[in-house]
Amino acid sequence: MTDTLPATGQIVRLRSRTWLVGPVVEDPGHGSTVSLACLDDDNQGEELNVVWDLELDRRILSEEAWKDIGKKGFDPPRQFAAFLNTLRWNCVTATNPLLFQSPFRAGIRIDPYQLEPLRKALLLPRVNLFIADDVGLGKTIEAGLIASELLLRRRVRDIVVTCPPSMLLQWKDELENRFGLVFEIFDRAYMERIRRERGHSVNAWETFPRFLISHKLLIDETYAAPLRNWLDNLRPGSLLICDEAHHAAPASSSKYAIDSQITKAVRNLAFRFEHRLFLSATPHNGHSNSFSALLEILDRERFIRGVKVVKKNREDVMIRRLKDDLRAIGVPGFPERVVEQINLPEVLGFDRLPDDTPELALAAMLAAYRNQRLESMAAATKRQRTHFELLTTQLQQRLLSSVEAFARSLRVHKKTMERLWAKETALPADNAKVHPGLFQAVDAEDDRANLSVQDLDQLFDLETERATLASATDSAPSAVERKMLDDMSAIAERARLLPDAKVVTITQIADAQIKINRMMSNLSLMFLVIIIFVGGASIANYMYANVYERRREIGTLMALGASSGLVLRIFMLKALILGVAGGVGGYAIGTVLAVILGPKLAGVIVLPMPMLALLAVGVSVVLALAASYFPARRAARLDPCATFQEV
Amino acid sequence: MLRMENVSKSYTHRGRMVKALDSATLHIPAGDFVSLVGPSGSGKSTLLLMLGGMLSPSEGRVLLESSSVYDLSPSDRAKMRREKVGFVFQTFNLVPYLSALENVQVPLFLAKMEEKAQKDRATALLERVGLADRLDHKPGELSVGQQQRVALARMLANEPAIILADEPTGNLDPETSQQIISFLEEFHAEGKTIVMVTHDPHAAKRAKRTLRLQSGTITCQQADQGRQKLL
Repeated sequence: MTDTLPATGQIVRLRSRTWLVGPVVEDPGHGSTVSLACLDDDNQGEELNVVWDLELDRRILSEEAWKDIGKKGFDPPRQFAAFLNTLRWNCVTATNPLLFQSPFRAGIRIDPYQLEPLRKALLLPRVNLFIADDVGLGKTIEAGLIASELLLRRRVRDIVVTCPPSMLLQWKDELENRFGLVFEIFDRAYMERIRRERGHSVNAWETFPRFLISHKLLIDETYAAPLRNWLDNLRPGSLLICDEAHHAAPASSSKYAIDSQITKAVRNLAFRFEHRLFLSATPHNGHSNSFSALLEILDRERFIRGVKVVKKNREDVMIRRLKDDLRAIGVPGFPERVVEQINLPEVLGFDRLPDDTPELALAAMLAAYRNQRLESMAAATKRQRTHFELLTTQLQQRLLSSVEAFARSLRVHKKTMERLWAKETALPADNAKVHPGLFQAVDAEDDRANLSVQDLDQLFDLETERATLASATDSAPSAVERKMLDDMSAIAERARLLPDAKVVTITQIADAQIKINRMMSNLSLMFLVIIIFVGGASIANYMYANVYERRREIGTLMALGASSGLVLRIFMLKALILGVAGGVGGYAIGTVLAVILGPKLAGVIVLPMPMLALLAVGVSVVLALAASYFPARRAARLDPCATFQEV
Repeated sequence: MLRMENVSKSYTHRGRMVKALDSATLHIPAGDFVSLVGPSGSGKSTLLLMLGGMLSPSEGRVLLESSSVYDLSPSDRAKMRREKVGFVFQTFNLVPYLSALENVQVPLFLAKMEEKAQKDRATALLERVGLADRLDHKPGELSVGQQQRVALARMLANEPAIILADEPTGNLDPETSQQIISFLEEFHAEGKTIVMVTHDPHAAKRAKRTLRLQSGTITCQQADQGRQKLL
């Protein structure tokens, strides 16, 4: 720390930041004023006037490098020209809207269609753009491209991104990793940190140029008010990116679009930004009032709440591409989703479940039980009836969930009722507390989603018990109700143990199997017939060829005194031998193959069947003889002339 | 012994009638040695097959020892061939995978002789044609002359009265031819009737007489006087 005043051009450290000293007004009596310009990367150029003597932790940084740089003298002209060119080529032109810079500085592969929002944004004097692309087309990337392009062109200095709480970290990561834009998440922790570091008087929004804030905090005046102060009526060079912008559309529950809290918050903020970028895959909720109100928040000049949106105006500010559109122009990576209806009767094989299916039976019995109880509760208070309705709704939900769940809750209910009937339990006071909210199904945004299954079951049990007690009247035990409860528990307890199986009688299975077997054997028979024909034809063919080959020998035999009958017998004997060999060999090879391959190919264990040997030999012998008869007869009637001619 | 009466034979070849033999009348007495000559296709083989009961004529009768050959039943005709006729072929027609002995055994087997007797007789026959040391040779291991001698032995097996030879010397060199003709003359001397188809004029001259066939007709019958002169 020194007491000397800094000189213009010096660099000082003050309020945890580095500053360049501007004009200094000396006033030793009251304290000298120093004009400062911030040098830190995240807040470059911000001006600050301080009374130097009153600042704590002030320091003049004397270890400047200018002297050293000055000592080096001048660069040679060629080197300097190179430097100048590098600088020039690196510069972004702010004048030509069609020369993009950000795609080249982003660490991602960009599809051509993702450049369209950027093109459109740069053509607008102020970026009031609604990117309404389909889910999965990369709205975040498109918004990041626009933001970094605007930053590069110096059209934007401050960016506020607002998104659902669950998306904060994802946005932060994407912007940081893909575009090199560091964002701070604006939340309670950040505010506390800034207060610790800079004091209570500092508006946390002024401390960083790029913030992420969740929709939820935007509603909170603690965060929204300082933001409005910082923005003032219009903050030049500021950009608002509103993710899931349809949240900001007025609620559509009635004919008139009713502003929700988030609508009010966003409307109150949006116009204070110079540029606005809305992102949503579902821009229109089906109510034109709501839609026009949302567009009015985006662009007050073009749109007015309650006035029908003009197509031309909408097209000026909105980009909407569906996956179908991109597929139509041949962008890969968006396979068509085909919805196929599954007809349950075709799948299950029957038109409807039988009435004694546990789920159906239990549903009917539960409805009957409910009606019965409501009848007997005619005299009960409204509160008791409400609780009973709540209880039956809960039981219905549990039944829709599973028989197991239903059985559990029913058990609790029945036990409690029995205790009540036996007067073991006193009726609860009228103000006994039940949390109807706990009866709702658990979804991802519910705290109960973090509970273990066991805890959740116990919670349901507890609530069932409480609801039962709360709905109890001091009427006498009803035999009908008791029987209904008993019947229901009987079915539920039985059904919950049964596996989800279909009962088929053994005769049905046998019939089906017989049918299949018959079909298979018919098929085999058909193949057998075909094989016999083919086999017979080839034997006949072979025998004809053999007779032709041996015609000289046959002629010689005849000349030597062999009769036709003998020749015929010789060839038939040959056929017989062939047939026997074929039958035995075929049976042996077939059996071995079946025993080895049967288990491997068909999963069937095959045992050798000796009876088949007889069949095989019989069939093949008959086949060979029949097929050889005509060739043999031809041999017997052969013209002996062939014997005497040279062949 | 052998008689042909107005025997004709016609084939249908590609839709056209071809006359292989045209009303041939012929008488061959027992103990005759006839050589049958003529150009190729003149009907020599047809005539020979008809004489041997292997090919039925279209018209006319063939008589062997005064019984009509083609009026017999096929099995009787086979029996007649077996017992009375011996064939010798130009290409020998030995069964290639049987030994010389087994080849000679075939006609004996067909005559249903006992196996032992078959062997003895076959051996004796092969000795007679001078092949006593070639009993177990396959035809492929014998020279052509030896093969034809095996064929002669086979022909003799059933003691035929008539020998029908279809160019027996056609595949042989002159020296072996001479040898075969000598065998035939020897058989003739033993009283067998021989009809021999041949192209070889020398062989033809060795017969007692020569028949010339021209386009299915017997044109010339001449008793060969020159044979006596040559001898």
